[in-house]
Amino acid sequence: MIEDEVLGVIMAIIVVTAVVAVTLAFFSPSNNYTAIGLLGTNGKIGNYPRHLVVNQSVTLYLFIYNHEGKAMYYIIYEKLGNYTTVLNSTYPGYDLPVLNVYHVIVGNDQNVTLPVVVKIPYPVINGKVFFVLYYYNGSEVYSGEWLQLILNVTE
Amino acid sequence: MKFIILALLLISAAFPTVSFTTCNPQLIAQIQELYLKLEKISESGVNVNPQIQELNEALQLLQNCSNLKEAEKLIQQVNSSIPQLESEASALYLEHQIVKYSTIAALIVLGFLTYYFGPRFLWKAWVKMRSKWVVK
Repeated sequence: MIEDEVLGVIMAIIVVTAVVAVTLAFFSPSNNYTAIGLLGTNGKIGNYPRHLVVNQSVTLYLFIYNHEGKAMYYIIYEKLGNYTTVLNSTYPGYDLPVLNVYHVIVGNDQNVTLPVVVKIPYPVINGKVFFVLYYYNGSEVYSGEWLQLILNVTE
Repeated sequence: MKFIILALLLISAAFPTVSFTTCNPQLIAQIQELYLKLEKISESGVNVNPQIQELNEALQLLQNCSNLKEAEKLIQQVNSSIPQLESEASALYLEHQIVKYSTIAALIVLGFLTYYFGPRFLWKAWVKMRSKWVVK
């Protein structure tokens, strides 16, 4: 025969477990995000170009991981700024010249490594190449995420 | 004024916007439209990963402006699979609704049953557990 105290403890554990399970099932906090990273010429972190010649093409890789809970249509704008240009989560550099645009769809909880080409048509000292991430949901929406690469371009 | 216009023209020439939407904007628009449909379908739990993958392949082909026919073919494939996916989605949605409302109804009924029969059952069990107790 089970003692009353033991029975009480078992019942309490069952009740608490049930409450926690129901709470998690119905009110689980959403933790959705997209992670982006710039990879070097060999597709790994490092080996980023520092100096380019005008119109020289170099291929880098953009890693995108989707944890938004659904497939996402991303649009990446490659823009050129100078050393004073600063982007933030609300300002994606509207007035900056666009070098390239990339479109990619990434499934939920999947990632993609997208080759991106950097080719700058004139000399720049401490230029900043930005990769600005937008997503498409009927219109293009700035995600607030961006990457930058600082480099010099000479004749 | 002329200088400003000339300067703007030179700047725009120096920074050609290599937007690949200019490669074939109609196909891009089609892909975006299909993506929105697939996104809506996937909300009901239907697996749309194969179609998403095909659209992505089409996007990569358009990115290179290399094989527009193949891209168009992939888009058509996805487009033709939409009605089937939509019917699957509506069936799955109905199934989810039935399960959801059945669970709510079962919980309500269980609540009432517990309210009416719980105390009786509890005290019966309590008495049964202590049936061999002796009061001295």
